[in-house]
Parts: sequence; structure tokens; C-alpha cells
Amino acid sequence: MKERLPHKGVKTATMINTTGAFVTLGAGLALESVKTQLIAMTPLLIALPAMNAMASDYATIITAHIADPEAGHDSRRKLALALLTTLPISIIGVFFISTFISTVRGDEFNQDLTLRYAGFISAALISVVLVVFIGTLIAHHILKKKQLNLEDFMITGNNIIATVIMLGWFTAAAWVIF
Amino acid sequence: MQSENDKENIEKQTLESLSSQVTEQEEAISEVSSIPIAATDIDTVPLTTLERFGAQWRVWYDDKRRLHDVGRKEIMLGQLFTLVVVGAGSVLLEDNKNALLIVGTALLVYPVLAALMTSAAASLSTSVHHEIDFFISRKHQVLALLKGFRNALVVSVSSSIAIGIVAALIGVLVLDTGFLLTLQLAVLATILTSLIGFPFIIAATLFIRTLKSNPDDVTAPLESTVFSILTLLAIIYVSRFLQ
Repeated sequence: MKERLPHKGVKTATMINTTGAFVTLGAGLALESVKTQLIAMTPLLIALPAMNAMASDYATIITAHIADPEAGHDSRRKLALALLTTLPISIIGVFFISTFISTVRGDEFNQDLTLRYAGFISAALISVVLVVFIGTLIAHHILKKKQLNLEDFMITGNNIIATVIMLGWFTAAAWVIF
Repeated sequence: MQSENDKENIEKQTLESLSSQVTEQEEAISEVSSIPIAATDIDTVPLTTLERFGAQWRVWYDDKRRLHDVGRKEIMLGQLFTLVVVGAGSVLLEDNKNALLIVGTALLVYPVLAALMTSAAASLSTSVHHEIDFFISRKHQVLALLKGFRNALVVSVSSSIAIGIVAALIGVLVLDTGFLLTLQLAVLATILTSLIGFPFIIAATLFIRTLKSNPDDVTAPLESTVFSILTLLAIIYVSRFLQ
């Protein structure tokens, strides 16, 4: 029977949730500052909830697998391979659906804009997955030594990190890339 | 002291589970092969019985392994689900953006509340999936689920009060909106989203386990997608209610 680390309770979870929420609020303010440009660019507006949800998905999947006390000894290698397979599909999917809906709504895409947009989606999703994966491995190593359960801290923490990175990319995209 | 009691309880439940499994196996062996239970020399046990015993163990092992393995197909399906639902939701967002302008801080609180609800739901789902295997009786499993729901609700509502206060202050200072309006929006939207979303997530986690899939791979996109849309709809509905 693998070791089950104790959960620390409502108080700790509330504190982590609240702190993380303030950080996200800061990222939300940055997004507010580019609201006009964002609303004017239909593909970005459509991609925003999709990529935010995906960043959160990957953060949760990575944390849940690394934190699972019943996971096998080769589960991390399998997880890395699974991410390498699914990430390109996510990138292509977001690109396709946002450009399709934009085109239906009357927007036009030239080659330069298409390449920049594709590059932005790829860079944003890949950076989120890399940061979360490496960060979680390090955090798991540290928290296990202190007998703390990763689920109490890192699921929320990684979701916040993923959201902040993604909103940061969107802010940069609205200001600089497009 | 509490963790020692927890450890003792876990050991007790594990022993109970193992002993009931051994009893079942002994009954199965004695029924099929008519061998005395207390066989001490393995050479006297027929090969077919050992194979059956080995196969049974293999089935139990594979079932458990499947519940905790990495599912590439499930992750991909989850991403496709996200694309379709959020794509449709984006169209809905564009069509209803006027309702979001009723309360001036709606767009400020939305990403924060969506992240909060997704995190709370993800914690709830993983703790349900990882904890339920440690309890044997149905009563203890149901109590564990109720405790998880209660904890998730308390955490999200108390966090939303803090978020609402900060967002309200920003609204008053920067965006010239009412303090109480923003606070009410944040808290009521969170309560509404929790009461609808959390039972759905618990049910989804238990259902996915019955399909012998790992909920860790499947519920993540479900949570972020569902709570992104649900939080947005809750903010729109509460904004109209507060108007």
C-alpha cells in the first residue's frame, strides 16, 4: 500500500485559493488594460476562453498524475509522452476553430497574420505545459519531504500559474504581436 | 495525534479489506477445486487452480492499474470537448456581451471566479477519486463525498468574499462602480456555480470510475470547460438579477 499523505484542511486550502486569486486579479487587470484591442480582434477573443480552459486542463492533469499515490513507477514518462502527443492536437484545434469562426464572422487572414497567430498559440500553450510540468516535479520533491499533500497546494497553484501565463501571453499579443 | 489516529484507521480498513478478499478467494478455491484450504505445500495444489488464482489476481491488478494510468486517448478527447464547448461558448459570449456591461466589474471578476471554481472543482474531483479507495463501507464513502462537497463549498464561498471585497475596492477606485454591487455579484455567482457545478463534478467522477477510466485524465477538461461557461452564465444571470 503506497503512502497516503494527510490533507491539511479547509483553512490552508482557503488561504492558497485566496492568495492565488489575488494574483489572477492582477492578471485580469492587465487584460482589462488591453480590452479595446482584444474585443477588436475576433480570433483572440474566441481563443481566450478556449486556451484558458486548456491551460487549466493541462495544469490539473499534470498535477493530479504526479500527486497520485497509486501511480506506477513509469507514470511520469508516460505522462510526458502523452503531453507530446496531445499538445500539437490542442494547438491545431484552437487555431482551426478560432480562425474558422472569425472567417465566418467576416474577418480576413493574410499569410503574415496567420503565421504570427499560429506562433502565438504554440508558444503560449507549450510554455504553460513546460513551466507547470517542471515546477510540479520540483514541488512534489520538496513537499513530500515535508510530509505535505501535493493536492492541497499544487492543483490550485498550478491553475493560477497557468492562468497568469496565459493571460500574460494574451496581453502581450494584443499589445505587441498584432 | 490526529495523523496517528488516521494511520491506525487506514491500517484497520486495509486489513479488513484484505481479509475479506482472502476469504472470498478461499471460498472460490474450495468451490472450484475441492482442495483443503490449509494446503501448505504448493506442489499439491493443481496447476489449473494456480492459473485461475493468478488470473484473478491479474484481473484485479489490471483493473486498479487502469484506474490510475495515463490515458492518452482520454486526454485528447477532453481537449476536443473543450474546443467544441468553449468555441460554442465564445459565440454565446459575443451575442450576450451587453449583459456583462450591466455591472462594471463583471469582466474583472470573471477570470478570477472561473479560476477559483475550476481549482476547487479539480481538488474536489481528485480527492474524491483518490480517497474513495481507502474506504470500504458505502456509508463511509458517502460521508467522504459529503465532506468533500462541504469543504469545496466553504473554500470557494469564503474565497469569493475576499475576491469580491478586493474587486469591489478596485471597482470603486478605478472603474467608478458600486462596492456592494460587485461584492454581491462575486458571492452570489460563486454560490450559484457551486450548487450546480460541484454535484455534477462528483457525479461525473464516480461515473467515469465505473467506465474503468482514470478521472484525473477526463474530469480536468470537463471542469475547466463547464466552470468557464457556468461561471459566465452565473455572472450574466446574477447581473440581470441585481439590475
